[in-house]
Amino acid sequence: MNKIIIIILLFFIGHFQVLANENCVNDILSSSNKTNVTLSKNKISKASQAFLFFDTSINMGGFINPPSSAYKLFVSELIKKTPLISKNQIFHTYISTPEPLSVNKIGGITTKHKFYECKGDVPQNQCHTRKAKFSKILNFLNIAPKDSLTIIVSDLFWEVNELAGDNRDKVEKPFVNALKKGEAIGIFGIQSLYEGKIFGICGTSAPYENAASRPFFVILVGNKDVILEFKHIMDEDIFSTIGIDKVEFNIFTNDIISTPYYAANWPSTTFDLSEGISKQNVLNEDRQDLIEFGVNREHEPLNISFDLNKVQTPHTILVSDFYTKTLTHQKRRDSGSCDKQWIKINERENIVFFKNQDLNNLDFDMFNTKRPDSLQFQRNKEYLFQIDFIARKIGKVIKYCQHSDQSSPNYNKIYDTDKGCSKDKEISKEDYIIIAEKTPERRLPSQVEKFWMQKDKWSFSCERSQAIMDAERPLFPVLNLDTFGALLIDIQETNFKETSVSQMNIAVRLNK
Amino acid sequence: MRFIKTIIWLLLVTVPFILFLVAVSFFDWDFIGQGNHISNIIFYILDQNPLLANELRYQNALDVLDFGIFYLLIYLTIFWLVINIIWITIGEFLNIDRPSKAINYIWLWSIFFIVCITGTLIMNYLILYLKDDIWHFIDKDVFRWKIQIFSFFYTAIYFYLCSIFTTSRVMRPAVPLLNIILRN
Repeated sequence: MNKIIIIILLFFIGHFQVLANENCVNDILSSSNKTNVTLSKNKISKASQAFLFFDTSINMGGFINPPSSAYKLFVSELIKKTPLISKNQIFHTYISTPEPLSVNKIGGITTKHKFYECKGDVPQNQCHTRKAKFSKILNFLNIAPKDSLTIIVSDLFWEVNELAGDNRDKVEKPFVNALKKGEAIGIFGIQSLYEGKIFGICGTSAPYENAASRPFFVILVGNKDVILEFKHIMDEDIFSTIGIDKVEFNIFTNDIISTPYYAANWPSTTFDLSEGISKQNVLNEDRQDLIEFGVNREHEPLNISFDLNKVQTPHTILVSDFYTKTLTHQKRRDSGSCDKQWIKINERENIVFFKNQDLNNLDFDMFNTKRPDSLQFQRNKEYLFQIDFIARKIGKVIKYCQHSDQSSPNYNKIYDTDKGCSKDKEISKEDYIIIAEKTPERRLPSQVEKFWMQKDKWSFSCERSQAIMDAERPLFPVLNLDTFGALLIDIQETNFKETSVSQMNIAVRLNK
Repeated sequence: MRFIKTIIWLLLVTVPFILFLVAVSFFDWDFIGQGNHISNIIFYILDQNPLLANELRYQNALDVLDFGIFYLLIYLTIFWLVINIIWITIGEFLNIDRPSKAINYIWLWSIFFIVCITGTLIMNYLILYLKDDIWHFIDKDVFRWKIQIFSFFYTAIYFYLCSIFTTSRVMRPAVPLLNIILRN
């Protein structure tokens, strides 16, 4: 009888010990729940009001001449689909100032030339000099009601001075304010058939008539989810007709990370289990919020990889310049208070290391004994690691490299890249500039992939305007679009704050 | 009666030697080293590798005390007493009736001396250096060159002092130099 009582007592003591241990792990991991909060935000599917502004400057008229231009298709669809993403719609046309347009007349935007004719007291021969003042329309963003959506359709044919000097502020500030209010800026660039004259290219008086195709742009400012919903609708209904290769889209927002991985909610492909590291039940509990590993004395690094596209808001610029902060707990006792059982090691940046970023693919490593500054851990103990993956910047990080393969014809030559130097030697920007100036023949073409607005297909400068017109390119790009693209990227980069990309909980036993 | 007196002498030598180690290890004596015993362990004994987390050092020091030094001192007390009692007992059973006979047993005393020292060093190694929870806290060089060398001399002095106070008069020539020391 006594034996039975002792066995029962031992069972309960053991059971309570497991419970106590589990509670401690729960307490420790509760700090990881901060990531979950960001996931529980309510998505808004409709804006309270949509304000639509159509650029009706003379150069826009050429978009409605072809029987089925992308412009006509898109604008018709835009007018039809805006009620799906907004409760109320208010239409305007604009050249220098916005003019209200009744719903009954909105169909004329894609059919009637009179919308694109000179209005008011402007002499007919001066008509072509009237360009749309984009910055004036952007002023509207400063007074737009909360939860509204502003949609601007334009060919972004800039006044020469509109993106320079003080005028740059007039374009920049409304966008900056929108981001600060928590709104997003979505921009579509769409190549459309064009039949018409393009006036006022870099001060030339003669119009250019040979463009068979030109881009137009749709800029949306408002709630991120509404903009993405609009993109989704247009993807399904219109972009397959226009051709995906003719459409570009980006969204600029401060809410960059939309679906971070957290706790143990990571895909199985995240870990590359190398020699000496294996899955192991470390805490002897069935936990869903932890990934558990055993690490032998002789081991290769634990490689952690994930795809940024899975965690970032779609169509945003990729974040970059990563590091990690890891909060560690070491198990010391099986009983006693939680802070006696698990000793806390404050957050460190030298436990999990950023290794490489190849576009959207990120690589980190842990337990890499070859890293001289890696924090060392005592063996024969269990650890809880709460790893926070953090991006310091947004946009490309340019690396400067020197070919180090002696058998390559490019040996010793230098190049800049956004994909890392791979096996080549990384050099400083200063060294790169010095080498490029002293021996220009050693400089290879840049391997940095340009933002779509900065590519020749989309943008040109006045210096190249004559060459473009002489070549009679059927596809006529946009003057100084690269400057506007750079401005948007600059706004995004300046307003970006260091942000947590994802969070991971792992339990590890460092075997003897 | 003479045996009990010898045991009392043995205790009178052993207790201060052990108490000194206990005091240095467990008491806060601010005039020693870093000001308290934990800081002393952290500073003088633990591994100073900067790549080990500082947050663990205090707990490591406590573990060295609780799972290492505590058991080591218990062992040393028992081991030292046992080895001396065996030496005393063997001395009694050797039937030595004159000092000239005792000098032939210097080798025996030397064996006890060596066993006492090596037993201490081996136990240091087992408890402070091999035991699961402690070995990785203690600096290798500190262990080899400070703890073991200190233990060697400390044990040697202890055993020799015990031999002075517990070896019977006829057996004293078996203890090297003892007759010369006592004659002066």
